Amino acid sequence: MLTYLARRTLLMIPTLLVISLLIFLIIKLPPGDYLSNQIAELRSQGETSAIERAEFLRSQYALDRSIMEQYAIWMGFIPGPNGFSGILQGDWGWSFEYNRPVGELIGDRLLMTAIINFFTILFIYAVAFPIGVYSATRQYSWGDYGFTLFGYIGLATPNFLLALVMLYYANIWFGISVGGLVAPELIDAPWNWEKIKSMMVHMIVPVIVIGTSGTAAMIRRLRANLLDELQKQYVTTARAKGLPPLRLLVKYPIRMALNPFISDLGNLLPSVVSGSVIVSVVMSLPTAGPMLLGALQSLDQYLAGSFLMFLALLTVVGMLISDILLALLDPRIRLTGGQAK
Amino acid sequence: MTRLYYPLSRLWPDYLRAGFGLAICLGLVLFVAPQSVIFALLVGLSLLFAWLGAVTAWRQQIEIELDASGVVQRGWGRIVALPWPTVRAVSLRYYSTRRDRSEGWLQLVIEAEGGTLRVDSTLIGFPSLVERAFAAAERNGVIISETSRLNASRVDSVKGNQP
Repeated sequence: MLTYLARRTLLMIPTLLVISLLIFLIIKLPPGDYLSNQIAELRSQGETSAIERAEFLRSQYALDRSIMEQYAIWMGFIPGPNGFSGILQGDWGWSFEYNRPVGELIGDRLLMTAIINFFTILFIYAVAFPIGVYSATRQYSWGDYGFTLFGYIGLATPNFLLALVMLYYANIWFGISVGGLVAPELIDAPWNWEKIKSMMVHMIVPVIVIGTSGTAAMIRRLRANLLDELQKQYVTTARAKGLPPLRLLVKYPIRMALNPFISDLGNLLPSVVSGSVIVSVVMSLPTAGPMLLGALQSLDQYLAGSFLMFLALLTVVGMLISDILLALLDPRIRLTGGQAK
Repeated sequence: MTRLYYPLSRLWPDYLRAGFGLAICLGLVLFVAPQSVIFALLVGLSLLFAWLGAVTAWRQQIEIELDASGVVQRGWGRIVALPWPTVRAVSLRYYSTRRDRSEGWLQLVIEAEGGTLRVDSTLIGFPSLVERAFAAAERNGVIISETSRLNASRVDSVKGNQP
């Protein structure tokens, strides 16, 4: 297993390095940068002190150097001017738009994003698993048709629309304030039980909204996989030998059909983060999505780069975890056309 | 008696992996402050790749002797001798680093009175070792998992596996 871990990890390191280079190059692709836009604007207004500050920031963050030099400084391969040490040292840079260090800005937002994503993934698994198993074992029943309809509606409804509808009814029926992750009067209050309770109540709508499409897709996949397994010969043999249906189901077909649950973990993490951007804007959630959108629009390169690196890290680590779990859960050879797969 | 060994032609990719991984991790360590989390992570990864290199070197010098009475592994002054009548567990697992699970390798684990033997399918003569180990397990009434049985029936289909 350690050999597997070493081989698999080795693939991860160059992948992250290449991703970091691509992220940096893509962010730098549009002409100009945040500071040159600001300088042009300030010049037109004749504000010399602000221009001096912008020029100072430009040299401090090496924006006047070549792209490859800037990348090496951003990563921390070469020391930057004025003590800027790069992301390998934990220095995420400076947000020009918010005029604050990126580390300070994204800390709370990443925490909120992680909490919402954790509950969303739990929601997806908790809802999709029983429904998927029920739909497969009761194929073409009224329940199966009902859940299939629910699945298609979940896949077809845009998340932002569902968010608006659910916000309206959550406010009318349950009195939950519209938008945000806590009640407005608790936003600046220190963390206490009341604030945590308010956050848990406010999280129900975003978790359902962000998780609905993922849940629907997972139900369809689990149903299809389990149906495939249930039609295999070993299931017929086990039935013929008199194995109780529940024991048979739990012991073999469900274990095999669980593979997509695990293999999808790698894709689920980043898709939930990036898929929640519009929902977060609509629902005024203090997560990473809206800030990433703003940073990309204003070419705030260090802020955008940090978020994108975080997403890349989530993807790569998610894939690693799912591959390790799959290797443990299903160490079978797959055969396709007579060759090991 | 049959002698089984790992040929260098099948081991050098692991040497390359270990060397490449060590070079990247130790290279990055030079740029990172010793107090940071990333430093600890990179040192951990360096140890993992160093371990891969050490295991590969161990494999290069071991020799396995297989006969009707059992299997004996010799290497670096250590001898592991497993008589067939004492085999109490056998498992055969498949690993692949590719998403489509192609180009992977098998790992056979045999537990018996003399200890535990762990070999990969890059070993010359691996299929014959699998065959003998499974036959011994059957004779001893050892329960073998469905996955191991399935993998054993497909040993010859693993790419690069030669008798």
